[in-house]
Amino acid sequence: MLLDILNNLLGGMGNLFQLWNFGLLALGSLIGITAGALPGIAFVNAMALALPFAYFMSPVTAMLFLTGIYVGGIFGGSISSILLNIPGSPGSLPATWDGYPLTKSGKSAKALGIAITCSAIGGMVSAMLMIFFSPPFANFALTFDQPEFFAATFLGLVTVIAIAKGQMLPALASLFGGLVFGSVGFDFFYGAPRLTFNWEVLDGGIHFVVAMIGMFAIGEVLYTLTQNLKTNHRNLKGHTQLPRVKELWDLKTTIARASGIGCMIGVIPGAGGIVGAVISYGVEKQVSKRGDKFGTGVEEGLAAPETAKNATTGAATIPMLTLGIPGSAATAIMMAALMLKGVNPGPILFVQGKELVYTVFAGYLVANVLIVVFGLLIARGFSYIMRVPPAILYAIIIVLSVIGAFAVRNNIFDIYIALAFGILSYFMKRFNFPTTPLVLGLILGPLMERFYLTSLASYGSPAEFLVRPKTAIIMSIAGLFLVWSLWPSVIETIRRIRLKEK
Amino acid sequence: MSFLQKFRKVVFTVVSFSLIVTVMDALAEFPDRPVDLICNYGPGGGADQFSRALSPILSKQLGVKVQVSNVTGAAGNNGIHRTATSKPDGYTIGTITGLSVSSWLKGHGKLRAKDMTFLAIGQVTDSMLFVPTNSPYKTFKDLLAAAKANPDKIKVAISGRGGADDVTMTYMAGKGYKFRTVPYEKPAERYAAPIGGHVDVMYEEPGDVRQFVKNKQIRPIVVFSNQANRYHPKVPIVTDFGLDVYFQNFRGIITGKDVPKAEKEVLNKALNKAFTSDAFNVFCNKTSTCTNARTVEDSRQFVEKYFKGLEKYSKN
Repeated sequence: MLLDILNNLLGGMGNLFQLWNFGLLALGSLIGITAGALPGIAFVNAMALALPFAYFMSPVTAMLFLTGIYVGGIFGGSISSILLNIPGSPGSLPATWDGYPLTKSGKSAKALGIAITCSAIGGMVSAMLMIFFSPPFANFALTFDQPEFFAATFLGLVTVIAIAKGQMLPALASLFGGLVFGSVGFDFFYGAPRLTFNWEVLDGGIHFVVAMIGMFAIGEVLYTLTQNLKTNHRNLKGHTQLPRVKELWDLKTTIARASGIGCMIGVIPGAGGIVGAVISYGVEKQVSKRGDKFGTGVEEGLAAPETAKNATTGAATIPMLTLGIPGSAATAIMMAALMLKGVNPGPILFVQGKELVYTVFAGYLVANVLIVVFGLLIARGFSYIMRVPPAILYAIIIVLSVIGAFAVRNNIFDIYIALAFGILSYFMKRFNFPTTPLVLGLILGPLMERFYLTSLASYGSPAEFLVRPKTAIIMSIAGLFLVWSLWPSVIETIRRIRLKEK
Repeated sequence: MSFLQKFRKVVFTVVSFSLIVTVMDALAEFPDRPVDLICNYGPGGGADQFSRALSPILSKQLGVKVQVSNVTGAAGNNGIHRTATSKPDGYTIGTITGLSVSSWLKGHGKLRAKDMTFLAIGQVTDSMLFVPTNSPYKTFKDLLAAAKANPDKIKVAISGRGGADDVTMTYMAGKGYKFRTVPYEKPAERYAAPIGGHVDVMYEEPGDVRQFVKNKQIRPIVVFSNQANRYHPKVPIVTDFGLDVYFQNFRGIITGKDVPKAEKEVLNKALNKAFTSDAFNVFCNKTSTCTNARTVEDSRQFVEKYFKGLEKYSKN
């Protein structure tokens, strides 16, 4: 197995270094870092906008392009975190806590150096995990029948809620909205029209890519327009000083811990870069000798979240490739690119599409090297990038969104759907409802329904979900997650009842 | 030059220009500009491969560019709607497949066979039952006996409810062979089902699963036809077992119903030439789907026979 993987990876590398493939991976990471660094455009928005272009590429090239944006984008946000104290992407929020203080004390070059190096290391560790863990897992997943797939999707939906601990009700509402939108159109099983209101244009359902373009591109622009982002970026100094080996060696335990946390969080559906970064920061603050000084510009406090957020990337891709179940907005977009090109992710892909899978693996490895090169470049040119007038930037995004929404199915009506989701997303943000659960509900809902109905057709009884060993295990993990996330409110209720009794 | 003179000159130019254009248009032979080929399924699927294989060959026959675009959704009916309702000048043609025709039975789409012209049929294929290579059912006879002995126990992977595969299995149930049909919508999941041991049998077209047959992961056990399959002549035919059920899946080309007859003839000739060309034969042989040339009338009859057969069997 190990030899097989290495052999295939070598083939993947060969594929990757073809001019077109490598060029688009590089272009992707350049776009990703830039989009990530610009406050107001997160890398997910850039990925949603890139999707229609991916349509014109081969599946492999499209995946590499998106990989570049993903890996680059999740790092890019830290540039504005460190230099401006504004996180360019959500995952870079913790970088403002110890990164910006370093800038204030005149050590911005050092901070950028740590951020770039640690992001790259975290990303590589995660890519390694993906490379050596995915193929055996895909082999194992071949033994999955529909009930197991149902359970895995169910686990995905449950974790989306469980992760949103403090914000459980808004996340639940958002997820439920996604499930409702996902059921629009002819159902696959009986061909019955649902929620179409006799409106022919809705017969085909709401394509999740269209909804994503609306939510992540149009909605984001609408929201940012209403915010007043005033920054003083006249005296930005984007010089970078990469840490010396000795300095890096001093951070070795921090980096190792953060890589581990990032990888673990990454596999969990719905978590993503921000959760990995925040948890890693919290853990580091507890265990570090200089924990009490965190927030004043401590190297460990910057290195930990930077490593962790990039360590979520490869790990998050594992369930998407091996099971066809995406756990984050970014991996959902990558899955959309595959499906638009007629490639179905899942265990069979590791038999039918070996070349594609291993080229993508190679792409993750190389993208993390590229962010070092491009990170230095873009940090230096950051003050110029910030001078692009927002009006022009947003106009470009809106135009690309309209083209993108149309291109998915060559359908004019989809443009209106994208606009409607853009407006919906604006109001959701305005009233603090998370948008990612809606998108995941829209994607996972129809999957889960299909797996459920097929399971019933195959085995006849819902009891099958509890009898099958693998399904039972996955379902109990989902149950544990539910209990864990509900526990605080349960405790609270019990406490109140006791108080009343007294 | 007075205003009137100027005006006259402008009018003269405009009138003569439009005259020239009209005359040229009338004299020009159809087609004199690119033809749109609307594929009614997404990229990568069977209909898309069909369109992409056809477009360069057809373009050579017609002497103009043939550009493919995918209009997807609603079981292929969105694309059919776009083709059949665009300007009836013959410059928009599109794909249609057995799967989209069978979706009409379920009420999908608003258009039916009478609302379009069938220009030609490019791919026709039998369907077969496949079992895992190590299946305990060595022959179709074994399988039938097992189905009779254990009704509703032996699982067959199909593509969905109401399609030709579902109708076929319902017919067999009526003959005393009751299988349990499990609909797997995604082809990749359907192929994984017999290979992973989740079902006993799979209903599929040989062209779509050729690599799994070649890898010896599955093997065909019966062909739904009244004559031997040209690509798998050794596989027994279903009519030899007293079962009179066989639907051939197909992919063809349609255009609007009001397209003038002359244009239809030009397109039909070019399509038939394309479908019987060496270049297209490479493609259809690879997918085990080659068929013979048909007139516009024959193509319509072929599709109507398919639809009526489905309708008849699904009512039983």
